[in-house]
Amino acid sequence: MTSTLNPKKPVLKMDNVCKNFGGVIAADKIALELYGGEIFGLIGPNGAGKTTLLNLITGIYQSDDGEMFLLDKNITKVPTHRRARLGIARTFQHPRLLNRCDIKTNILMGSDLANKRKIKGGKLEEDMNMLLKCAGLQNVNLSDSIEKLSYGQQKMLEIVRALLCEPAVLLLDEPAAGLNTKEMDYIVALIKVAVQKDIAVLLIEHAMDLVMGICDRLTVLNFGHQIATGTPTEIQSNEEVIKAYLGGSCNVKS
Amino acid sequence: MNLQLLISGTSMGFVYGLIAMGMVLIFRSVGIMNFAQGEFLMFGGYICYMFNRIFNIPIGISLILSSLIMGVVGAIFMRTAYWPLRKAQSKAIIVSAMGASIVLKEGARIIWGSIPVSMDKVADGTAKVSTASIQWQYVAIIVIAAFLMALVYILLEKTFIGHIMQATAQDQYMASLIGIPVIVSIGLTFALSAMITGVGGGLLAPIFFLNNTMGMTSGAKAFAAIVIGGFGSVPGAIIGGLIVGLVEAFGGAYISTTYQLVLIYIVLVLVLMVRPQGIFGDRIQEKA
Repeated sequence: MTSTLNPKKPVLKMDNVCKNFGGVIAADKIALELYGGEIFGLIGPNGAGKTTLLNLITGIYQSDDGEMFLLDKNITKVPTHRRARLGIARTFQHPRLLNRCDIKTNILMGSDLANKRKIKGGKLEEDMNMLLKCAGLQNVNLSDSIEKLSYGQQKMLEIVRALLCEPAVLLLDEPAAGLNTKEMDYIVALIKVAVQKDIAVLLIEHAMDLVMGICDRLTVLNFGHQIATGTPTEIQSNEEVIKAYLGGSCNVKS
Repeated sequence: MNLQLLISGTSMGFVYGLIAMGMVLIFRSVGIMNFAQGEFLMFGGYICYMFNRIFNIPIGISLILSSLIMGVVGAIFMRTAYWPLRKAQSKAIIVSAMGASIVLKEGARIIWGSIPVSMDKVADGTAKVSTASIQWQYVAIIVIAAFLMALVYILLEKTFIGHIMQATAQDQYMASLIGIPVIVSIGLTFALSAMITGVGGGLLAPIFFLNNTMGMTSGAKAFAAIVIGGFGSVPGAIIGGLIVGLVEAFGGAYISTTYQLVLIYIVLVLVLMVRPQGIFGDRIQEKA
């Protein structure tokens, strides 16, 4: 299928990953391959197991079964902080920043750990300013407290922080939730930067226009099952997907 | 104003401030009040005594060595008394800290005996200022404690390790996701906390004899200092410590030595009546 279109090796590979919470199946034999420079969408109704999947990738949860590979390295048993250093970065649905530290500390927190660059390095500074510009944050005062930023700006800042770590995989948990259209454009710009840097982007999002518009491929989850994987056009015409997700529930929610 | 009391009260206040600061560092890092903090003071004092009086090492070097060893003790304390219970209810961790305090207290009795001991002063002699005679040791305590507090401030605010420790304190989950090994970061916090508190023990011992039960009362006073200063605030811990030290000194001289502890708690209640969050207690609302 897609792997024939894309001759590159997958950056992140999940092989039959399973996770149960008691009797609840949160992830059932998940098999994914993410390639560098690709935007991979992950959609599904609330409670479908999308965030669980992210937590499995970052190592917050240990999978019950199956294996995960990051650039051919088996990371199934690797602890969270080592995975982060190996190149898995994520952002949160609700921004998690250090409220007691200034903006610059927040942005650079992690990048030094991730790629062992010195914080005062010229290139890092340059990268940071470029990313801040993409995020529409070029005018913020870096020594201000985080609380001076709006909700949308905080979400943008998280992505900037993640990108500065130069990850192999970037996991975005609902980056557009709660943002206005202008801020959405900034998010898209940042995602485009990630693609240019050949980062594999995994995008969880409820805003269907955004997902269908920018994703190269996507997978649909429902009750921990992968019901379909394919290009946006394939997914939109998939009977089972329409039944489970895109059909009725979408209209009711908005 | 009695200068002699002012100096001795201030220096005691700085020692309580060191204990309170150690407690606050741990509180901010893991959200638990460490009820074994006073034991760190006692244990640090005994280790310093061991270097100074048993191995005959000069007191300055003994203080540094004991502080380093207390760092190891703090890290072991964290690994054994806190880490296995990190996902349990906070009650469980408080009980395990109390257990650890018994281990430290009785451990000190087994190793160094239960007879109160003393050791060399950092600075000998007294200074005469008009009618007051001031022990140089009190001045030394103030200088060394203030220096340590400044050092901790610089470490936390200006260094990369400090930023890692702060990040872990604010959000462990996020910290691990950006590549911080949480166990190392929390271990460092406990080590730092035990180090500064342990030095306090070595400074106090030449004035008051060391005994293995001193941790309890000094821990209780430091706890009062934290509540007065504002729960979770580092400057609050220092100011609260000073208030406790001064109330103790002046209350002991002018009212009654028997009721020193009672006076501290009266001040505590008065502060809480006027400012329930303590003097610098804004952070607690943010945490809630």
